Amino acid sequence: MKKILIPVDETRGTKEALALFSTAVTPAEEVILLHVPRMQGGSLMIDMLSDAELETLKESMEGTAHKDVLDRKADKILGFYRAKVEERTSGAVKTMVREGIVSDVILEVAREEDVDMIIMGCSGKSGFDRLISGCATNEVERLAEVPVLVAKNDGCQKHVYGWNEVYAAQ
Amino acid sequence: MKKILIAVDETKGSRMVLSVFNNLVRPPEEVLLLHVGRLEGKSMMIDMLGEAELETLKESLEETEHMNALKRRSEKILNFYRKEIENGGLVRVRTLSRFGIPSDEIVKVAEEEGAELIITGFNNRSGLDRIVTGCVCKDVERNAKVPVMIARQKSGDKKAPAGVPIGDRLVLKEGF
Repeated sequence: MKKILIPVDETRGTKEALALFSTAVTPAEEVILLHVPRMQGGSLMIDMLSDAELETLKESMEGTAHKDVLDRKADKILGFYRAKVEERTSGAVKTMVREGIVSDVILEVAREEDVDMIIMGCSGKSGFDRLISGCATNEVERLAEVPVLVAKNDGCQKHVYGWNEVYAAQ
Repeated sequence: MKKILIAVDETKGSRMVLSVFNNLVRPPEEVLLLHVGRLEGKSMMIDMLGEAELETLKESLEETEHMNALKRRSEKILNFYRKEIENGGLVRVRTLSRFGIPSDEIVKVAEEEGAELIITGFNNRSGLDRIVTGCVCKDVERNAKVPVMIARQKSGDKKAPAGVPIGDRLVLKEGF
């Protein structure tokens, strides 16, 4: 396969995704590690922002201490995973940082880079939490144009059936 | 990997599992091909049945014409996929036919068999269609304890517009 996109963050899901990369799929010529920083921390505000507002947020954060913290975090995460991936592949490894709404960014990058597959961890959120803050993995899985491999970790439990209908309405 | 479970049915979306399996997945030692037949046809009644009621339904259907027809159809579908996979390479393929709620059975079988990965197709349902009929792949992905690969064909076309009809099925002719 030519290109695999692996969104990475600080959660366990990423570790599981990488494990799958080694064991389940055929070797790739290039692996893209994408980190989408959470500009807004734990706030849900970002999903309600339009593109223009997102741009304004990015600009207003330039040069701030908050941005430094985010940049350093991104570097650490990407550095850590790049090393892991390079151990396991003879192909090229590319790292990327892009701000925005997680699922949108992942889909955008997947399209731009013309990847053959996306491997990602599962957010492990359930019930109310999932309903409120959503699940990037689900969005990507629904809208991606390429196969999506979802890695599981112990945090992913069975989800309450009743939320299906409401969730699908998004 | 030792065992991969591939869930198939008669829809077009299911076919994608073949190209994904043949090109993108490392060959495992064994492939388990699972088809979950819908006892109730296209009726949505089944999602509202409890386990006990499902069992009763299955029992009352035993030995009937309907059940035999369902079993035959299941075998045809499984044979089609078995041939495609066996042609691709040297993998051991086992087929399994079950009846009930697709996503539940898929997850159950994966656990029983100790599958390390589940590959399932994707039917591009959107909007009302999705809410009403549901999406098997999504349910499997949520409830499975093992990784799930949602197979799609990469193509140049945009995805189908909202409101893809429910009757988006591939009718398997006798030739298969």
